Amino acid sequence: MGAGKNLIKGIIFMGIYIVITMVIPYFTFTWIKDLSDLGIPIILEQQEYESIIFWISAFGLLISSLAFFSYSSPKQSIRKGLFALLQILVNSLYIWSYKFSGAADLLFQFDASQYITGYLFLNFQNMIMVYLGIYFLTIVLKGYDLVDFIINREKIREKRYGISGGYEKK
Amino acid sequence: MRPSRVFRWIVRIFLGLLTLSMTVVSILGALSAVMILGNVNENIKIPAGPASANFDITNPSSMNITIPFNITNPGYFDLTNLIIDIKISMIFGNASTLTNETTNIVIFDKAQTFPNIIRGQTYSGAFFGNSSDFIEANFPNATTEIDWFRTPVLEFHGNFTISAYYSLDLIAFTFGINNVTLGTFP
Repeated sequence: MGAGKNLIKGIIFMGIYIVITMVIPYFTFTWIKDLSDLGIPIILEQQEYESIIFWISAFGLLISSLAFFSYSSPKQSIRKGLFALLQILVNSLYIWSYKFSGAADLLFQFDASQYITGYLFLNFQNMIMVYLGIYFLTIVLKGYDLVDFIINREKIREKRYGISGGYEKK
Repeated sequence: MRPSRVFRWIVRIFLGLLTLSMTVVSILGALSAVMILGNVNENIKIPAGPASANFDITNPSSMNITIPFNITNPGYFDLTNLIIDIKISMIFGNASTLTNETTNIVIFDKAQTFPNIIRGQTYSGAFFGNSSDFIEANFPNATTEIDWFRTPVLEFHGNFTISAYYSLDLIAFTFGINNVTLGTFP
């Protein structure tokens, strides 16, 4: 694939990661925050909401930029393997940020009527841990890829450029 | 295709399926929460009918409480590890202080575990408490500490906490209702 096509591929995947890691979580948490507008009498604490949005944006930007470098790199190149590994590591931090930013333990104030008040506490920590388990397996896979790309560099180059040991194949 | 690539694709497909199933569970879990909370007054009813109670603090061994409740689970997953915790506090004018200041004490605290609620079903149960669940050590001395000229002499308030797991035990929730007036004496 040519450099231009790789660049376009990188930009497309950067866009996809911006949507997945920033736009969808932003609208989800904003929707949860304003559930009272839909007739569900619960309110997410403002401070908690701001902290969640900050961490989502910070890690979302990092993941999206790494996705650009990863997907714009040539197929099975060491550069691709390295950026893919870095991206999955930052992805794990992104998931972990849900835990420390407060997104994994959401506290809502509940106000159904003037006589009934209370709270709703949602704990997603078990779910975050399962996701981290999946990410751990993905890290192993990306590490395996990187080692594979380094060990089989000659074979990959031979297949990609049709050259062997620096000489073009006849 | 090189054998290392074939192995990689097998692991990648497995991880893809795992991620997809987790995403489906997350989305259905969120929808379940919205379904339960969307009509919270109908789905969680505590008390669901007339509660019976004997709060005669002069005779602690006869004290008891029964609170009927209904919990409807309109979500996609069963509600498991359902625990209901009820704390009852009593407010009275404290005659042992110079200005008969109102004092708030916890007289009852009990957590009770209930069976799982299958999705789409309503569980009707009752919360029971007997004399052993009342905290006798906190009771004021009826003759020297309670201001019997205050109106009402005693006020009883309840704090209800319902906790359970859903979405295959991956999401835990605690729902608390604070300071519900249970009754007064006289």
